[in-house]
Amino acid sequence: MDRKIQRLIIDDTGYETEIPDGYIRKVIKEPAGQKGIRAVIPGVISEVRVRKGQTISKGHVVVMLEAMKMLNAIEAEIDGKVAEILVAAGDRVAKGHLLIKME
Amino acid sequence: MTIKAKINEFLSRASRLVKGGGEASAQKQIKSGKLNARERIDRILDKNTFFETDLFVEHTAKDFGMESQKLAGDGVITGFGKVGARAVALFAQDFTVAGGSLGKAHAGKIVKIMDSAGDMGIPLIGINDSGGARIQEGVDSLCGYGDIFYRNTQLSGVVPQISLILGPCAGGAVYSPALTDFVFVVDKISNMFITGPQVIKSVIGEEIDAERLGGAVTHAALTGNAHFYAKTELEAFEQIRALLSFLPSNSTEMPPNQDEYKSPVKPLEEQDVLPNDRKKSYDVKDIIKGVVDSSYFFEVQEHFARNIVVGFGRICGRPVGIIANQPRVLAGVLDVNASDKASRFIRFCDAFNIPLLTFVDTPGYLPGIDQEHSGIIRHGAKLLYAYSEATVPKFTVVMRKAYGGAYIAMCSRHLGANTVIAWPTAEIAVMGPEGAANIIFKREIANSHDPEKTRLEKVKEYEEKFANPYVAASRGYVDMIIEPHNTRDALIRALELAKTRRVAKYNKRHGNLPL
Repeated sequence: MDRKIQRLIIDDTGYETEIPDGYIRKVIKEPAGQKGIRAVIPGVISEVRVRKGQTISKGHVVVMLEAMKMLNAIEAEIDGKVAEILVAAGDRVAKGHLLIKME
Repeated sequence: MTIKAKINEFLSRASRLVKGGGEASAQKQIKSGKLNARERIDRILDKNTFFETDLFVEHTAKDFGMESQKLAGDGVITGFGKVGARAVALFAQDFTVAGGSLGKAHAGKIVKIMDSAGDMGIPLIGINDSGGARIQEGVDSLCGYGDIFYRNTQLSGVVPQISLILGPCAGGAVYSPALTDFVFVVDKISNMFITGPQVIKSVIGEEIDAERLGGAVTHAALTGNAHFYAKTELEAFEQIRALLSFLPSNSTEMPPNQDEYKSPVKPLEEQDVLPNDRKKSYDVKDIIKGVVDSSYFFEVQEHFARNIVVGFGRICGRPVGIIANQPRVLAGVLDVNASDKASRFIRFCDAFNIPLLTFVDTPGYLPGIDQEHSGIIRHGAKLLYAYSEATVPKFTVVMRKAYGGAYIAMCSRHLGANTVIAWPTAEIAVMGPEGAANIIFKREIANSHDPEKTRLEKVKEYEEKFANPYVAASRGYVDMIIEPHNTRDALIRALELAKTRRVAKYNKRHGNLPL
């Protein structure tokens, strides 16, 4: 096993130590400031209920997601305008997948 | 029928039953890289000590053609035997008989051997190798699992319970091992998951193979569900023998003393114990091996949450449970997994009269969103709870950093340690010098014409004043400061004294461990 020595900073002190892989992956963040609607559970998109440019308000159902043998209504969490639709009916998505970009 | 004929009939019935699923399926089992159930039993137990029960048990299922099917021993072998000349109860599921599937009679045999283990106060070893519930028996097989879970829980803290995963163990079947004290997995043989790869693929479309989803490496290194990982079944059996050598047969007994013991092979030497630079790491296992008999440290969960090390060792022949921060990994920080790992180990030791020996060198809790959102508050609380709750003798050696909340958590005097020993290199403080100086002297540093120089001066000032064991010792939070090479001697005396430890407890039903 590759045991690389790296620096871990705690309370302003940099300790020379091994940082296991899982911890490195966890600190990689998603692109910041990406406003949008994400899949809350993994599943298959059964219907997209908005179109590009449409203005929607909080609670508007944007996508129907089939998961765990149920149809789940994915709602907008904020008011806004649909900037881009990133999925289509039939797409399989993972948890946290960005479905719709909002302006 | 003559007596001879009766005896012959018995012999022929018995010999048929011990063949399990027959020669063809036995060969198939071997081809898949696994030992057969009876071989496993023979290899785990001392030679010729197996004392079998319930060979003649049969199922009474009537549906789906089951009425005409005879299943040898109903797919599980149960009985007693000895490991290191001490009695154990055990069961081994036989994959060659209906895939080791669990029906009512199969579960009934396991339940019976579990009850016996409890009655007699002897450890229980379970070998899991089963396709799961016997579907043909419907809710009766669910009843079987439930009966086993109930007894796993009742026996928890009464006798040590050990699970070997030597084949598939999926769905509800995983929860009996999960309720036991130690789970052993073997490379390329063990598989544990709630839902298998096919179900995951069909329901949510994620693709993964069984090995990566729930194989031995996954459970030993990633999930923490397993406590011991072995390359082969035989290695796992050796590990079981080693483990049992540290454990009492039940909670009313003391762990077995070894009358003959040897000093550590490599005693602690001042100069090569710790690096001079506080920012440099070292392997805490070298310290442990410098203290325990024959330098023999038997590690538990070696591959999981490696920033904390737990395991068993002996001091003058007496078993102790050791918990140590590992500066080599993540600087020895406490995090969610390390807290879970240490807490469960501490509670096991406390249940079975095994004194706790804690080595401290930690800079604190791991900072980060991931940790906070993973619930480090409630997970970290387990460690405080487990140490505070433990009434076995508790000894603490502060080697280097013991900062802030992590100082309290690592079996400080305040959580009921009997003896707290500090080395002259100990730094018991609210935080490290750099962090503390940057906060306390923030204004002076900012207003200085040479901030960096002032900062370094202030760090040094704080370091000299607080990064030592003397402040804590002046308050009596540390009982004694000793040179590292005297650690073993000090622990021998402390252990001797604590033999008669008595602890008064509130009368309560049970506490509410943060989960």
